[in-house]
Amino acid sequence: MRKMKKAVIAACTPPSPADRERFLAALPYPRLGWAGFLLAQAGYIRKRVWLSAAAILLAGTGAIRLSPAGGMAPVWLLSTLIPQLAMLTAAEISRSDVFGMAEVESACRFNLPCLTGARLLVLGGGSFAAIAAASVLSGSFASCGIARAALYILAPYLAVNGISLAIFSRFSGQEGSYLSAAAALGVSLLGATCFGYAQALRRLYLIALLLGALLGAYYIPHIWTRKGISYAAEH
Amino acid sequence: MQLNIDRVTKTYGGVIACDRLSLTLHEGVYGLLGANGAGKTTLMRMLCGILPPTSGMISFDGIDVSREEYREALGYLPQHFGYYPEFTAWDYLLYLAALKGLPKRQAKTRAEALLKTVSLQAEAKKKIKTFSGGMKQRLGIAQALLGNPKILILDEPTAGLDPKERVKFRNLISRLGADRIVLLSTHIVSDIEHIAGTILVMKKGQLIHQGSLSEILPAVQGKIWECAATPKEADALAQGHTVINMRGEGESILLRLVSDSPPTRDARCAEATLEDLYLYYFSEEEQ
Repeated sequence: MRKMKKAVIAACTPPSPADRERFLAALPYPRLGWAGFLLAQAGYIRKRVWLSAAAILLAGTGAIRLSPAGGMAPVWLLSTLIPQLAMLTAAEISRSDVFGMAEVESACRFNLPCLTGARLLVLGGGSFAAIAAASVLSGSFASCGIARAALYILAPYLAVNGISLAIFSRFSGQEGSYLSAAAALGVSLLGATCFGYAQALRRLYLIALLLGALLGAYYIPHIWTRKGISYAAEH
Repeated sequence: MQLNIDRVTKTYGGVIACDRLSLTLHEGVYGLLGANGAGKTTLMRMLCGILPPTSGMISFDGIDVSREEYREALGYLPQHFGYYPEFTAWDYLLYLAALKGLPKRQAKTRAEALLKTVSLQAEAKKKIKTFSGGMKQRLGIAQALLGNPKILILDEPTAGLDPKERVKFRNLISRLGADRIVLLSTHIVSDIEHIAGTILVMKKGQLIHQGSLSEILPAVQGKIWECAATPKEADALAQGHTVINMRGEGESILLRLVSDSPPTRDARCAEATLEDLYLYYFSEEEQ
């Protein structure tokens, strides 16, 4: 029987595949789920964001080593450096507009609102971890305690994010990046001035930052639903 | 396979960009023709779910344009598209493959095949910022084909390509139209003439013609004229008519022009082409 099978196989020439491409194209392929998409997008966050978070933490640790016990210097230092991380985070969230990728991304299965959501989640999670570590590190060393240290570090971060998201929703391209960098620098300088010289202005400074953070809370859904993109596409 | 556009309107403030467009597209290549500002790009953006219509509905086999399943069936090449500066051609395709929901392994296989299709396999690991305009355009075409889309929307796909590449992509688009809906917009009339089975002519947001070449050309038949004239006469004719072509031959000038009636006594009625139709409808707007 086996011999006969072999003989039949040897005697017959199989027909060349007909419509192979169409058959292969019609096969259902495995689809990327939400978790896979999130993981893939985490890999596309530029390294400079994570490096700057690590550098800020390192600077805080250095300040703790150099400061006298109970000193507020590490908290002030982290509070004035954190706007730079916020600026990079906001730029990362809005980079589709800056580099003209928004239109192509909007037509994909995971479209721009999905992509922005993924970026917010990954960057928000990463920043939260960095801010929590910075707050615990500096707050347990300084006289103010962890909660107040967290407030001093979180307020400028949220404020710069808020201002930057507001900027990116109004200005596209490099113009938005420059304005966001200027805002981050402004908040850093204001913080350094208040903490170094004008200590009486600290409360005013914190209130201003919290207002900035509220602006951010308003603009996150705005950026997410891409009203800015629709506007740009319409004009 | 059916892409249904049902009374779609788009307005920007008081300006109507698309005016109650109704259309049903099946497998095949559709060429969208119109002057700048006719509403072609707005229509394409609405078909891709980037712009919401002011009114009307767009659906593919019953799936609404706003749904994920619709976008899964979509491939889109915009007129202008950017890239992240750190990306190579390979990174670009893998990144967009992830957005299109392709798992990494399959994305790699598909990206490799597409880079070969667009003759960019040697440049796969080169940064996009070092690419010429034509190479970027080829990469754009490759990304549109990721995920084997059933609806392919191409805005000026052959812009920036040299004649050899243009012919190659024309043939590729023609092949792709065999089992999917391909809608392409271009100012290169000959591209549409060669590959589009159905031609859609848009003017001021409305569809003024729809059909095959032989169906729409009668609209300008009898309005295309050829005549010989002296340079002075030629100047006078050019003032009052849309001149399609002007060629010097000895002492006289041979003119091909659009006119509802014979422009000169010895003018001869010529066979109309798609370019003639385009100029007949859009020459005033272009000016």
